[in-house]
Amino acid sequence: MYILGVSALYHDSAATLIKDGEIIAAAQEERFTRIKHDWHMPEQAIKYCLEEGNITSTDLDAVVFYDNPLKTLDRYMKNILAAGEDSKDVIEHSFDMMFSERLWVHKKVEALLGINPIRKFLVCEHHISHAASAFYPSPYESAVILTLDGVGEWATTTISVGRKEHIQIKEEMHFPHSLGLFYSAFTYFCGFKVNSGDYKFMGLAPYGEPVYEDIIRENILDIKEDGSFEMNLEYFDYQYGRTMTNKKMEELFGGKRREPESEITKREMDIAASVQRITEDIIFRMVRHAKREYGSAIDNLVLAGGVALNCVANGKLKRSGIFKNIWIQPAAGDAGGSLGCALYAAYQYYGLKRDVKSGDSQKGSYLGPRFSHKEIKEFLDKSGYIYQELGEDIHKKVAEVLADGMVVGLFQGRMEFGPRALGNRSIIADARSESMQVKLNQKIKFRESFRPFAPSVLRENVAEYFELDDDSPYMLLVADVCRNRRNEFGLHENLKKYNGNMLEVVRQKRSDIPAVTHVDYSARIQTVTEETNPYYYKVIKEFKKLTGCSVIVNTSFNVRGEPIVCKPQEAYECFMRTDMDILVLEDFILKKEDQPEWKETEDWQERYRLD
Amino acid sequence: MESKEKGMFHDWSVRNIGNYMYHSANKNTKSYFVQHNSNKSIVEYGFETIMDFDTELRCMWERDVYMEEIVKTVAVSTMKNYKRKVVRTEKEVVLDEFIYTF
Repeated sequence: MYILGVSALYHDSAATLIKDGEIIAAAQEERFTRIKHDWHMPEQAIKYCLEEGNITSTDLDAVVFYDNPLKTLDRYMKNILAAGEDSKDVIEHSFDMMFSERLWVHKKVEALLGINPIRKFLVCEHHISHAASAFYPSPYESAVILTLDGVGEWATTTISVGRKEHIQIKEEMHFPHSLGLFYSAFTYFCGFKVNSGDYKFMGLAPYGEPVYEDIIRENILDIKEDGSFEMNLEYFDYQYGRTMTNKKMEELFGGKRREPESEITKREMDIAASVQRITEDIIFRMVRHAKREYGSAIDNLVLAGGVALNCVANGKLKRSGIFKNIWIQPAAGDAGGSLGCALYAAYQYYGLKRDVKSGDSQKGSYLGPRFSHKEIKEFLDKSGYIYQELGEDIHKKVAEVLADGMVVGLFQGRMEFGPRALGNRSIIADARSESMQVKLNQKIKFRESFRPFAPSVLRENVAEYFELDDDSPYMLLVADVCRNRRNEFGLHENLKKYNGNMLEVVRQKRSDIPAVTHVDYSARIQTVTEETNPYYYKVIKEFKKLTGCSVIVNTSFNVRGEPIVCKPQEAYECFMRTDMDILVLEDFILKKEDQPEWKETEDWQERYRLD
Repeated sequence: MESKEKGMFHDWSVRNIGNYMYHSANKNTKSYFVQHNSNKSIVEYGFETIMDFDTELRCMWERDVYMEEIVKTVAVSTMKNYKRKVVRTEKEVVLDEFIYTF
């Protein structure tokens, strides 16, 4: 039985193909169209999924959309009733899309796949899609499920219980009270974009002190013991289709919101720290409540929804031991909804039996396109690019150039599904280098200097470097660098010394793996195993043989504002536009100095606007 | 969607303000969580005619008397605004960077 899951028409559209409950392929549309967070129907992602499954649209038994448009319409209409005179902007901003696109999603699918009266078209509740994406691929027979995001139809948070094939929502919170929107509101207030800046805001938090925590709690949130909360809407404008926060918020924080790309001041750092602390408190309360109410006989917690990408909170949850085991859907945002709704249809609509795997069923999240040796060779030859073909020696060679301090664009295997690059579409470098964080931020990613980089580490060595001895294959857990590896480093003294200049602060060596050690000694860890990614594992293993170090830097293969590369051509373009030294395409290696002169054919910095 | 239609929705919301308020519990309540009130989390979806869609809307809002007045407008607007083919204009391609889309 083939089922196609689709998420689209909001942001981060994606498609997933499953066969008898097994995930065959999944990809985000942005990777094909090169439009960040592309919201359109995922035409190219669907095409890819069908090709990967070696089927045509006539073979599909069902197509499932990850959101119920009628229920969302209900929210839209009641939202304007609540707004009354103030409803003008939300009507202007949202109604076109609802009436011309979302309500017609069945026809949009027909237009892409052709009319087929046998194929069912189903819609699944948004948070059920998230819950299913977290539970079904997890390695657990039963689990408590927590989903947290901006908003689905009405729900913004759900607590559910999953048992084998069944998921039952027990409790939920409704719009406009939303942890995702609360977090996004402050992301906006601090000058970052609402659809792409949340992780920057999270990365900023360690620089600050939570001095605004009490102000926020007293004025903006009423949080209950079980983590449920209501927001004081007087400070927000999102419900009116305008910006996230309003003038009253500016008054509360003593001035206007930060202008995008302007200097980041102590105020923004402190707001980020305060909001992160409150977010963690809310999540912890919810998880403790869920354990008390539904988890007396369940040791497993699974998470999805955009807030589940808050890897700092995830890491603390893991360490808390409230639940013995935690699994987080790597495509936790809306893209992952395509996966969840397809699986939910398989198990709850069609009644398939679920086969629970001892690892998980996400296949490392390597669910996207792969390019064969032949395809890559043809591309390189046709383009006249200069390369060496190394065969089995490639891993050793990559390790050597890393050890020499070079920055490598690594393109191999199937593209990752979800926002993180996990070694198949990654830029990698030596984590021991003191200058690497600044170099990668400034000359390769062209992004803000304060932002940290993540480590990939051999699974068997993770505890030698980090205060974690567990799997973290999807880079969704943060843990501290081991104490014996740290250098004396006073963050706030340094901020004072350098007058808040974060570039100077990050130049200070904080451990013996400085390129992946954030200013609070934390790191967002990816553990790598031979079973899940043999190529990447061998590269790090060879690097360890040469250097004694099992850790390398791993950042996504793109520049700021660009979707992660999907095809060899995009990898080559990114390689040539930046200060990357080496490009590796499967077992082909390309050196920058050998390449023909690069002539730009487009204003790519305009095309990939800063995120 | 034409400005006239948008105006109709706005006028309706102004006339009927107060008929719907965001869920807000008593501050003394122990929890702001609510029960999930749907037993159909996955359903078949699709309509062809205005009559089909009108029926769906009336079914959804059968307990919300205050929605009765807007059913017809919603149904007509839905039919009028269906775009068979999306043309990706520059304006449509990129999401607004500072307004959350939900």
